[in-house]
Amino acid sequence: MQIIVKNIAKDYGKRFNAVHAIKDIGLEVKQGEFLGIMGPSGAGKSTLLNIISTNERPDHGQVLIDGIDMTQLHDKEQAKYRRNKMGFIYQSFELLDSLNVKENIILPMALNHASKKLIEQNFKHMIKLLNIESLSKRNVDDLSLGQKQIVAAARALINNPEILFADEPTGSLDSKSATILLNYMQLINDKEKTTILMATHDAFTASYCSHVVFIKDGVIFSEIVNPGDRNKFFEQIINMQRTIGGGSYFNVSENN
Amino acid sequence: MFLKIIRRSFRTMKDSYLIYILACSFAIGIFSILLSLVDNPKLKGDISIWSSGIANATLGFSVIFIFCAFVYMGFVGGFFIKQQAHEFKTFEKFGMARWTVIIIGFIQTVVVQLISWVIGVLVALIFQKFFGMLLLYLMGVKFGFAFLFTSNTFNLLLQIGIYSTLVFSIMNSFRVNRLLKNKKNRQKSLRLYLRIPSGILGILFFVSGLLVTVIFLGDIKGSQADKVLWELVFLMMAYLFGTYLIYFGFLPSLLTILQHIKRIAYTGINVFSFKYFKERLIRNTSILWFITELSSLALVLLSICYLGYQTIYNNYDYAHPFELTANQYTVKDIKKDLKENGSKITREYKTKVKMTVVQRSSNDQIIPGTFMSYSDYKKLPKSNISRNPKIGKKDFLILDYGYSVPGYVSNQSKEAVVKVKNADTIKSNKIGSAFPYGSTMYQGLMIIAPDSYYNDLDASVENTFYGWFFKNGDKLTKKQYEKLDSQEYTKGVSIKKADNLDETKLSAIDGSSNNTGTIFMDSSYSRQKSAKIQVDQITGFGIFIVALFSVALLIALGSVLTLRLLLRDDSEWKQLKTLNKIGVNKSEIKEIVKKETVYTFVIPIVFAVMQSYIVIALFGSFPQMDMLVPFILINLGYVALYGIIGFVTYLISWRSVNQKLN
Repeated sequence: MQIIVKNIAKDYGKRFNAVHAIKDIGLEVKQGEFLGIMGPSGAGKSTLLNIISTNERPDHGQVLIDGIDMTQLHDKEQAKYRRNKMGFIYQSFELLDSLNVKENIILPMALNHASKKLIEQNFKHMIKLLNIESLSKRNVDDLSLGQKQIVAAARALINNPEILFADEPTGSLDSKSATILLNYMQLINDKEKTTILMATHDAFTASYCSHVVFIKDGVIFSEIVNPGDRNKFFEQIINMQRTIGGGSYFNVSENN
Repeated sequence: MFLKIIRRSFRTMKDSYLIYILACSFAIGIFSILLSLVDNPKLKGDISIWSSGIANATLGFSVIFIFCAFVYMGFVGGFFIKQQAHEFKTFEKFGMARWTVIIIGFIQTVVVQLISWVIGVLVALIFQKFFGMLLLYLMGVKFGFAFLFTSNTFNLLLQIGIYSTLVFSIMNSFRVNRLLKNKKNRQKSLRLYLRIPSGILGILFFVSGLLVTVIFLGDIKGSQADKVLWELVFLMMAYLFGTYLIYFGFLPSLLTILQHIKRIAYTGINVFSFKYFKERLIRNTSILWFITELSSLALVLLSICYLGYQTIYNNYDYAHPFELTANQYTVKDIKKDLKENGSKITREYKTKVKMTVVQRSSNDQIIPGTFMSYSDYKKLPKSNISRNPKIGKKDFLILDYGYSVPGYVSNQSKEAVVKVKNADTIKSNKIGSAFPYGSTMYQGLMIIAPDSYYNDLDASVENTFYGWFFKNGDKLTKKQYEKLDSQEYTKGVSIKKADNLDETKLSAIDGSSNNTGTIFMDSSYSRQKSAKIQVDQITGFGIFIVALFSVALLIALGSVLTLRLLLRDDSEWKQLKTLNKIGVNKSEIKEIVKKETVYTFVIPIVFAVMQSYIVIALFGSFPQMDMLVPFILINLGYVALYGIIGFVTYLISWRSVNQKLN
């Protein structure tokens, strides 16, 4: 599934108080690509991700997914597209407190009116894959942060989405949980050819991507492509971070 | 800083505050208007019954009204504090002193209460004339209403406004303090082990209540007073506990069961909505129960008010079937007056009657009996006798005061037995209450007898009744009317009881002479117009008060439900936003909001209507009144108004959700 972003821009606030979150960004994501979006806080990473995932509308510009201009779709059609083709992992997990772990995970399938049998089958597969079988009947409030993010990932992936959006997915996780999640994301990217777009300011997390774009002050500053060696790619990312802002506002993980 | 925080809180909850302020202002406005009417000199001067009773009734109702309004303000005012729990706790976490947060809560309440009072009093000033005119119109009074707001009323309103504002603000300050003390958000747990048995018990109570209502209907007709009392107590308990337990136990358990039926729960948004509704239901159990019971009470009271209204009008119709009625003692004066005034008589009736002593077998009471022949009875206007059972030439018709005679009217099929002095005992199942010349013209029983029986009857006293209908009224002047009034209850009969009925004596008496024995005085004349004025005034006042209370109650109940729906806490908002983020479209979220509004409004009204059916059973003791149709109409009217509030709530609720999603 190919994504083409053409000249999108987004402002928050009105007139003199307006903040230019994104200024004329354009990029292309090929099918099966694992794209990282990096940049300091406030650079516009989450806004860009939200616009591509149709959770927000740009002030101008186009987002073409497989040739369909998502910005022209009605809210209802956008929601349908999100439900059928996309999965989401957020830093704040966005789990529903009133539902237990199982209900949270199966929610996208239930929304799609999938059969009971298929729901159960996919659920079992997912909890086994992510090793969270023991959590299925627990309440969301009783989980650790790492467990919550794994559950959020399971919810994002249960529908076998064609595009996975991850906004700071490892932001609340310890290094072990982060590694498990990232390995799994890489696995589905390799095997299922799922296109992944991930916003992060963590160099270690970004090193799992095949391609990273750097955003600063709402515009694309530079891009790096993974040469095939993760350690080398990690070094390149760190260097780019230093170039952008002296590395003061980028996390340099010790897990390298 | 304070003002900024307070302003922000008003802005974020503007819909909710607006509803609360409007509801309070309406209540304050109505209270102010009622209070200003009490000491209105024009009403006192021009309506005779105003000073003698209605002014005090108005004062009483205004006190009840403001008391209910204060209960509403005290209860609902707390919603806003609860809604800001997260914010207040955050202020404290950031180092704001507790008393500062308390003062913020205090000032918020002061501002809201003062705005409500100012708007309320302004509403009263603007609409006093309208409501005054409406009251006079309903009372059938034909003079204009003058706007008047005395300084006394103003002072009283000012004092009540200031004191109540202080009290509610202090109450909310305590609420803020308690909120800050509770560090943990207490989540109401499901506790199914408690809810399932409670739910079953609730259903049993409620169903048994419905069954007992049917039994009650039978017993009340059979006049089994002891049984009826116990059944009434049981019904109240069964409905009160039953409804609460259904909200507490049955509905959450039902939603839990549905949630576990995968075929239903795993379909579309159900996986979320069942749990969401359950959480909201558990949180609002007491409010839903309170609203159900109040709605039920309102429906019962409205039906009773209608019954009262009907009874007054029925009594009026029974008492005044002619526009003017006289007997042999007053006819001469009345005819002279009518001639002097040039009154246009359209129909004139005259009937001779005989009076003797009779004894009711049902209670052995010895009373006067007025006899009219069948032939004379048949000559009377059909409208005067149509409400009595039809009789043939050889039948007896017994006319008695229906409500006060045990065993007479409550069982229509029962035969009435009346012993007559020196004549055959009368046995008849033809019993009525529509006295052809009006109920005030007689004492004791009236019996329509076959001509032969009537002719053979040895009368102790004879009298003649006269009745007239006019074109454009009787035209009696105030002076003539006062002269007639002085003759009322000056003539009658006296009964001197003996060992047996045949020796008991009945004789005509004059009010001025000293009489012995049991005395029964007649009104001697009856004038429809003067009675109609009083009946119109009393019923008009009744309709005015009932309408005000009903509208106020609907606004209060509706706004409580609306506010409970609007005031979602942070976690509930977050959940709706998350659903939208992961692909639930707005129309599906709108569906959740719609279903929630429908359940919140429909369930209480359904239970309320079912409970209010008890009133039909209560009306069983008035078999002559068909209350089913009015009861259905009252219910439909209430449901329709309630439905409008529900629909508006849905629109506001969806508007606020939609704004948050955007």
